[in-house]
Amino acid sequence: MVERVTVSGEIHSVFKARVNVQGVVVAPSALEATSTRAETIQVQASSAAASDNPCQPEKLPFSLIHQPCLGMHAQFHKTLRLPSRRLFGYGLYNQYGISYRRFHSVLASRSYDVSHPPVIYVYEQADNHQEAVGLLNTLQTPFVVLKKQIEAGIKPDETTNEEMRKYLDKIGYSVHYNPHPMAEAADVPCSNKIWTNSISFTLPGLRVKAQLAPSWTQSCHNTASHMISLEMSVFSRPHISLRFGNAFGSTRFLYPEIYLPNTSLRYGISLKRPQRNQRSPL
Amino acid sequence: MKPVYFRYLTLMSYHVFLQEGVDAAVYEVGIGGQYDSTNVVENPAVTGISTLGIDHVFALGNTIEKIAWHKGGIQKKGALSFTVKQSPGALAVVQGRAEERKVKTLTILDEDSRLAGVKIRPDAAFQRLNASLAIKLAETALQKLDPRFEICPTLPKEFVDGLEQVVWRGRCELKKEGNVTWYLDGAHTQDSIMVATNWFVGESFQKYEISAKCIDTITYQEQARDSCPHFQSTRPPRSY
Repeated sequence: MVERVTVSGEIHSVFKARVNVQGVVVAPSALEATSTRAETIQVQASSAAASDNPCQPEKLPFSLIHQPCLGMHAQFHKTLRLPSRRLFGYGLYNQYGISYRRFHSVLASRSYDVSHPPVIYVYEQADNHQEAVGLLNTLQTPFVVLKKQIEAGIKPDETTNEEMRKYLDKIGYSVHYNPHPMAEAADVPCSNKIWTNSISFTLPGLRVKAQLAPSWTQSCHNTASHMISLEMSVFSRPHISLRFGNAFGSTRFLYPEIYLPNTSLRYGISLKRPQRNQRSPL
Repeated sequence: MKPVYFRYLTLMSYHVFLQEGVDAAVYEVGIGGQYDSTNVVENPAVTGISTLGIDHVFALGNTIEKIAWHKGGIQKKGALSFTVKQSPGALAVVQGRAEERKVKTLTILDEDSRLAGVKIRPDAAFQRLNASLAIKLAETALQKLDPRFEICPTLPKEFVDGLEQVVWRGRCELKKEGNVTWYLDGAHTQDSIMVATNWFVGESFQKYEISAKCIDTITYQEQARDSCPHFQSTRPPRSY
């Protein structure tokens, strides 16, 4: 179930980097629910990529490109061409289509070692309605997977949170609860290398609420920028996309300063950062 | 052990955000809350629960109360929690979960009076309520990030700009191509289909006074959902 596709042209980072990739991608087709095979994705990238790249290249510290997870459905059907703006044309940054937005905003959000870029570049274009529906279906877990889960009576329970913690541990992050974060404020120096804050909110049901996420971050950014350096990210459901562009700024904000250097706020995940270029066994 | 698709994306987000050294991250849960893959952040700055609807019934249950139990699971000990008006049954469950999980406070928000004059799109009550929740979450987060931040009696310009200028492609979006106007929105539950329909009606009928008979609708439905059978019951009314 390995198909080949040729990727050519530029891939624009939505944040700050730009990576040029030319080569051949070998990607897994939709994985079966019981599949445990280690598929291989090979990307041969142009070494000319770094010229426009303001970031220090680095490798992805876990090898997802070699072991696509169950349920991931990167499908490549044909040689890619320039995108059809008619169906999915959203301007310069999003002209690569819906799948581009999903994967690229996550995976290509920074620069990596171009000899092994973790770019799973999914771009398809639809020539007819049926094909468009088929492409839309690639944006979700394959129905066969869901069906098998339902038939097996598999429902999320308390073990799922523990599994997530194990996954995080495997890729080099630890999650531990600090019961009194403010109590340690005076003793623990703040670093922008530590994820000090996380804001969680749920947007069930009425999907229009998701509109407020970029609005929210924009507000935070604008209000806070004169006081602190603020870098912010949004994680939303995969079939809901954010617009990254120049008109209203990016949802993510990068500033060189360390914010509030004399203040410590500790929330959320405390992490042990993996060494750069270190690969996780995941 | 390999993560399923959504967990994989969630792991990717943790990795990318952490590698980027973000100061704050906004996480939307995937399915439910209690057992969702995003629910590993033990001490979030703030949590918010917007209007609950019936969705993911296989995993969460088929009543709003059962679903509310899962949603209430994102609230954390010692953390501030906010929600908006819910149905009585759902609200009771969320409040119960807040007590059980020993949240610092659970605040039930009404529409923020400072939104008067702010152009919220779509200009509907539910969206103004959502905006109120977003404002409160933002203010709370900013207070955590910077103790000097003060909540203003009027919305700061930055908040207003953020709310008014937000662009979310494919969500309540009008796209003009020559003589054709595309009304782009998405929905996957009966409630949200109704919301999308009402938005479409409000935009198109008021501007162009077209007849419902003139409307061709194209729907796309995720394979595992069954919202479309209800679509007939949610046909656009003639008045917004």
